[in-house]
Amino acid sequence: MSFRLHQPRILVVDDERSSLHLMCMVLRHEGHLVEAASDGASALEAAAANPPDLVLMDIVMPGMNGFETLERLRNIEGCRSVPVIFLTGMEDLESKLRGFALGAVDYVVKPFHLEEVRARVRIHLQLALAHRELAEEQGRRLRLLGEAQREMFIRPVEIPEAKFSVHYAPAQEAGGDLYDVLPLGPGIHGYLVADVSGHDVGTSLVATAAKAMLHQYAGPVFSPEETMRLVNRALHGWLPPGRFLTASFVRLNRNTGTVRAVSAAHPAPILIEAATDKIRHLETEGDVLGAFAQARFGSVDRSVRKGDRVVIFTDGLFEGVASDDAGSKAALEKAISENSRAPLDVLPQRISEAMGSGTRPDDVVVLAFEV
Amino acid sequence: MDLPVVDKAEALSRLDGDLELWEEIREIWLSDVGSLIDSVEAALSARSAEALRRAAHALKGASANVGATRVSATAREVEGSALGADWPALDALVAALRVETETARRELPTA
Repeated sequence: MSFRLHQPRILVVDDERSSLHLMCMVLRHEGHLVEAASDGASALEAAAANPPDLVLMDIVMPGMNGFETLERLRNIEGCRSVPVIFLTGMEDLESKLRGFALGAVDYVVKPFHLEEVRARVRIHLQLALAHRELAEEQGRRLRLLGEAQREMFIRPVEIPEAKFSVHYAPAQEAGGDLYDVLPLGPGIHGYLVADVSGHDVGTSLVATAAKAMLHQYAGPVFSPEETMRLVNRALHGWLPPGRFLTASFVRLNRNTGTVRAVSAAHPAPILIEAATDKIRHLETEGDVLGAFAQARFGSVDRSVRKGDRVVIFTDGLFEGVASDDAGSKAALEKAISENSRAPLDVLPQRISEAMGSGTRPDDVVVLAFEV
Repeated sequence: MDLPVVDKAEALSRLDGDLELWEEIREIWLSDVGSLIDSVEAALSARSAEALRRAAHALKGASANVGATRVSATAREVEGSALGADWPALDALVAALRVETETARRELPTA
């Protein structure tokens, strides 16, 4: 374990003066930075001003007791996971259990044995430090996973005949939004944009798994609806409860000049007609992916001409744009109209910028392709 | 009660034998104990069981730190029985607590 150079900051809270004095003295002698508070309210104030590395707190105090103070402490920035040791003259099991349920890490029973206090403080500071290092390590792994995930995303130069471009902005190191472009036969391509529920490491694993399944079930022998049904079935057997994806899958057949869009509870793709600059929403209904064994996916067909473009995106694009669906839709139509003649390789980026990118907390994918 | 009024040796054993530190908390106890026992009596007069429990708790803790063992033990009894609100019994117990407190107050400065 590597020790920090900084002095651990310890907050001691007790309304009883001799206990407060004892605790402060012993901890100062240990070389810690000690702050004393004689009630819950001033403890919260001190914690907000300077988040401590450890809190030692009496339970029975006038005004706010130790339990209430702990609950409020958890809402203070920088104090959500600070270890709290209760100081107590109470021997009863119930109050100890209540403290543990609220997230206390330990107890010291009064009257204090200074040696015991030192030992418990030391071990909990070490544990807190180990936790912090673990969290940093996890952050590092998440970044590596994010890099690996990005490398798995196909780039337009790798498959120029698909004529697509994409703007991908994960909100976190490893995001839950994904896209893919698959050759499904000569002149036929599938374009997918999906959004995995949740924002954690699991999210990006689900995204990666969903892509693998899509590759397995997308092909000339399956219709887009069948592909979605098969991916759904595979995901349903594998995803933990509460996890699901929304997705938009569009198949373009350049030989016949048709697109077929399938939706899994995802915002509708948008078709920009080159000849008229008209915008059409390829609306269709469908269930989310992975939540139900027997999910249904609607599809919509449309004839297209050379130069027409289709834009598919995740709902992160709407984040903070308008307070209702109609407002979001209007903003999107405006963003697309203003940029409909932009070169394909910058179109997704322009749309995202016009919708106020960079300010939103959610992942965003905007993918555009041209017939 | 078999307990000594002041068990300085026991207190020092908890405080790494640090006599100076013990003297510091003795000063704190001597300056605070008057208001601590007053709070106990005030809660008793007001027949407020919860306030009595809390006041006795505070006196118990302070007295335990310094080694005023009889005060601490009696305060603990008050704390434990306060919510039962058996007022005649509590009247007697708090009267005994006052006596123990005054005794400790006399003995602690020379202990």
